[in-house]
Amino acid sequence: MSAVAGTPQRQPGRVRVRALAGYAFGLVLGAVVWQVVGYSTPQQVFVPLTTTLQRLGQLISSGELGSALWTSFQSYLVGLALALVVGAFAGILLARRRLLRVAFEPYVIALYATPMVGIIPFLLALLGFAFWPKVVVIFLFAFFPVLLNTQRGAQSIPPELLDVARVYRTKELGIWRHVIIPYTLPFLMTGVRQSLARGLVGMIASDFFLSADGLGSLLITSSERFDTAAMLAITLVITAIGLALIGIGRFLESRFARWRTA
Amino acid sequence: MSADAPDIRAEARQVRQAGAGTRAIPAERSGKGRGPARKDADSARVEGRVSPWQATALRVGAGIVLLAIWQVGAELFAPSYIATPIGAIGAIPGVLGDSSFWSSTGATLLAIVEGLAIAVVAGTIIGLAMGRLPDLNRILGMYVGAFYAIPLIAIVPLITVWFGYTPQARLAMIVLEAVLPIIYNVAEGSRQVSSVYLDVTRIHHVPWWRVWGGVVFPNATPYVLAGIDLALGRAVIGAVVAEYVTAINGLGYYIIFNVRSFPENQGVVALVVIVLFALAVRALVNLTVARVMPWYRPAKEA
Amino acid sequence: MTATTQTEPKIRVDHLVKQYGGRVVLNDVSFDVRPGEIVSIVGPSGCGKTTLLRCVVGLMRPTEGTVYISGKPVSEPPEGVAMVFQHFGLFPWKTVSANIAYGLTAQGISRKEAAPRVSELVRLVGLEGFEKSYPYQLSGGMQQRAGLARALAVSPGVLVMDEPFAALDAQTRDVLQLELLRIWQGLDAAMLFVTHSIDEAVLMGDRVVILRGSPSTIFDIVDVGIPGPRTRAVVDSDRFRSARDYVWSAVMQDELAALAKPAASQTASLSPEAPTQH
Repeated sequence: MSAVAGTPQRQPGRVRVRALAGYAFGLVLGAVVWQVVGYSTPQQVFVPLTTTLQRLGQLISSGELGSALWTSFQSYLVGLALALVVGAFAGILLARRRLLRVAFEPYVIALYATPMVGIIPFLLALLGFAFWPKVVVIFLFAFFPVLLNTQRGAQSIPPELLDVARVYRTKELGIWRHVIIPYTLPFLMTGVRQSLARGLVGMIASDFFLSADGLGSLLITSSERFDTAAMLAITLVITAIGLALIGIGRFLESRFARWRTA
Repeated sequence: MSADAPDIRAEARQVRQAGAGTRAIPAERSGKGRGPARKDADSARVEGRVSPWQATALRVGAGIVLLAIWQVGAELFAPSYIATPIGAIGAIPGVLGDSSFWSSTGATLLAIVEGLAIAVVAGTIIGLAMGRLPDLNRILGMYVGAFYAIPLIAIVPLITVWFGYTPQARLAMIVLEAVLPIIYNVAEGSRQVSSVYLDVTRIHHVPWWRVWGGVVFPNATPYVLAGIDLALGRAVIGAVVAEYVTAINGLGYYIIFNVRSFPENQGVVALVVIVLFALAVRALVNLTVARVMPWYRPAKEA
Repeated sequence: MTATTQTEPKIRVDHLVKQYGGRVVLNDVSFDVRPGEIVSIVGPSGCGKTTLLRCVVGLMRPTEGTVYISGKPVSEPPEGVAMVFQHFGLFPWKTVSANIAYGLTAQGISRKEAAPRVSELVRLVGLEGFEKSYPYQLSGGMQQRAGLARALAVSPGVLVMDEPFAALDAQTRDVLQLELLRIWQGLDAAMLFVTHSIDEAVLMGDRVVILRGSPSTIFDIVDVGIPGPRTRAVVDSDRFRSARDYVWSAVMQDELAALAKPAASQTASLSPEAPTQH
């Protein structure tokens, strides 16, 4: 910002070019740093970007990555779906039934604050190594944001809208269909967005401790074999997945919040 | 920030708005069953206010029900080594008398405090720089965003490669987990210094270091605190995860050790201790803030 | 049940008492509304006008007393009653047409069946071209037109208005008042019109119910006595002015009494008798 009075505003075009240049420079810089660090450290510690990408290619073509992804995502999707259904239902239930809400709220809050990671060893001891324990873990990670956001939404329905429904003699089912669900849906989507990310954490965590053949397990075995290139490659993949999930989450959230504009 | 982390931003906003509250969660804080403000307490569906006594009774009742389900379920369906509420309560004296428990706790808590301190200093500096320098914001922002996107637990194997199975690995994990929300929040806070304040400094020809110390930093403080609040929770997770994987001395290891060698009840006690610790520190931070910075009001949403 | 005749009141409020929170809000309120009549209810802020309205439509049950609509006692919102809300009450996720159709679709009538009635009403309230718009895209006045259309869609015998223009700016309010009166000509219903604006109450109402006191009771029911369709010109007539002045002094009496107290005592800024309605 120029301190000289009377200087005209920077043209928007120039600002955009500078912004794009900044992003591009950032990417290039990152790549360069990666390369340099990779070449100047032992192979066990870090590898150059080029080597990483090569290794990634190998993992893809050998099918290792694909099958690991498939295994992990199966439990992810099931756990997430369960979390959405149960969480949405429970959220609306708590919102509509005051007594239940008052009774259970402190426990919900306490569980939300508990690092679910901590529970994993107990689940491992209880359920062992299998598909369903992983689903349970992912469910626990993904459940609470859905519950809390849905509850918040269902609880904040403007009383006037409920009055409207009642004055026009809407039946209970109609109130759900015309008022509760449409109003709560955007809140649910916010919960979904948070759940997607948390569920991913649960997926990796359950891969580490409860599984032998998921994405996280691939990471562990690579570390045991000192295959740092593979580790970096898998980390890249997970980052990409994480970013994609954030994008999906934000899309869902804004798509369903359209009527809340202005 | 070029790569947004909407989840953390919304959380940060809620934390800032929660202000002096003891928790930051996307739900009501009071458990009184406060519904949307009703102009009339009476309607065809009778919904009176729940008195504090009733509320406590309901909660205690619900707690008993939950614990009973746990206890009975465990006795009927689960192997005998599974933790039960009665067992966990019974294990408390043993755990509290166990010196290895206390040394584990100390190790973990110390590491968390250490890691947080590093994260706060580093995060604030980086965040301030990013907030005030848009170019730097663009360059670094995408990497901060990328680190937000990835579950940091996935970085643990790499950390063990670099630091070995040592306390340094745990520290690195804690710092990494904690520094992200601080950077993000401080950047956002220092970016949003109201131009009114800056105009004042320009009119009075205030030197740049005074501007930073006297305007930018105090303005950023609520954001720093919001970041610290989030960082605390993440730091605890980071410590526990690191200990689960590296098996170094700490509460996490204590849990794993006990669960794997079957006295699970001890593990439950330890887990509860971790959660209580996190909540206690949060409350402490909020209390300190209320005392030391009485002018602090939760930042309003833009 | 006797068949309703022309002289049978459409709405009858019979010794209604409403109490909640340990406080009596409305005490012994009784009045009638005849078919084709507009009755305004006016009173100081917080005097329980809305509470009374909610009891009339069945959103609330009175502590004592009964409300009869078309001769039948009201316990739940009955058939043939429609309401227009102060903050419009449109569902933000529904289009204007969907909102207008709501009174019908909530009863199981399909959107297709309701469509002709909806277009008719869209024309009536002047919202052509906005059928597919969403409430957030409309101004306050247009939203309330939609609210009115929704109420009329069910061909109600009783129309209840809860400060319908209070949330609008003055000019829009003036326009909509006259619009409503114009539309009213073609209807055969009874209307209850709650407002805190005295001018509006006298303009709209054939009779004006004045609520006052703590707990609120009917102070008087004024027959405005202006025959025929109301237009803007009515506001200048003597009849209107005298009715308005009377209502005004009746409603404001307590507030004026408080203001008129001598300023001798510094601490008496509020008269102890001033109605302290939350």
